[in-house]
Amino acid sequence: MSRPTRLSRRGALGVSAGAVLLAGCRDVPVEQTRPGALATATGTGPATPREDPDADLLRTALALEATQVARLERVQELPLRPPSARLVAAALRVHRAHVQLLRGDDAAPVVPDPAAPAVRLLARLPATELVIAEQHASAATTAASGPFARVLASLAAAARQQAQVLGDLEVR
Amino acid sequence: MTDAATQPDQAPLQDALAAEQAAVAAYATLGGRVSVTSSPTAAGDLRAAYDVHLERRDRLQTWITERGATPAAPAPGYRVPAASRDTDALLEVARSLEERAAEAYAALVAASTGDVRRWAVAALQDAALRTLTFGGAPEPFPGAPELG
Repeated sequence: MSRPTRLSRRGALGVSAGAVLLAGCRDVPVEQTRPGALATATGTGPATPREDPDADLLRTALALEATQVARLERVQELPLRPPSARLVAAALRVHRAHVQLLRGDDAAPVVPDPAAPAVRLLARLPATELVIAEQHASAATTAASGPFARVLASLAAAARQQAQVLGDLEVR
Repeated sequence: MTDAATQPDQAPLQDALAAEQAAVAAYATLGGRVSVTSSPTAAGDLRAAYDVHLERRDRLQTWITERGATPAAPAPGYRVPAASRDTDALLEVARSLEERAAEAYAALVAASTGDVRRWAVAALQDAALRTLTFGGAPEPFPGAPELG
């Protein structure tokens, strides 16, 4: 089953996460800065012409992380040997922490269920981590907000670490 | 080359330089204490780290100079908390060096744009991987532990 990706405006803009994640990134409340390109979570308040320049980067980063969580949860259903099960569980904790940070108080984003079989997802985990790392790193170089760039760079580094340790997975 | 519009504040560059100066000094000490015969892998890893940090130190000095500032001088002496020749203890020191470097580069990412930020993003990833090389565990937020 495939569900459409749905990311809330608050999550996409880091509003609720802003107090922690994006503190200092923006000099005005983000909720007051976004035009109607995305539906507002509350549906209240007039749109203003100022758009958060990092909204798309945040939304993309959140989708990447949530998708990896979905993959890892699917892989966890496999009968893995203990060393591999520990690696997958640790990776899942890392990416769940990333999702939590990026979404703040918003609901978890809904992402498509992984289409590939779990065994194939398992075999491709290191490669998917590298892709995530590259995308976060690229976003970090272009983010308008320096503190948000720092967050993205840290997420990229975490994914690079995961790519390395998940290379030790036993794929049967 | 970066232009004036992409120049970061000097403080993060100087902080990163200080971290690299400390790392270069520490790795020189660690490399002299590890046994190439009994721990060839560790010796090679420490040597590789020394070379990387030396290159980064020089790069940071160049950038600071190009911005019309004076690179801070290295501290007169660095205390390396590894008196023994025990390989595990030496690698633990190396891990802490990489963690400090990761935090310095994360700060530099926040304070820079353009080529300097791109370079700092790559350096942060390298430090995170080198932490694993020296026996560390993956972290949720390398270089930014307060986010966890």
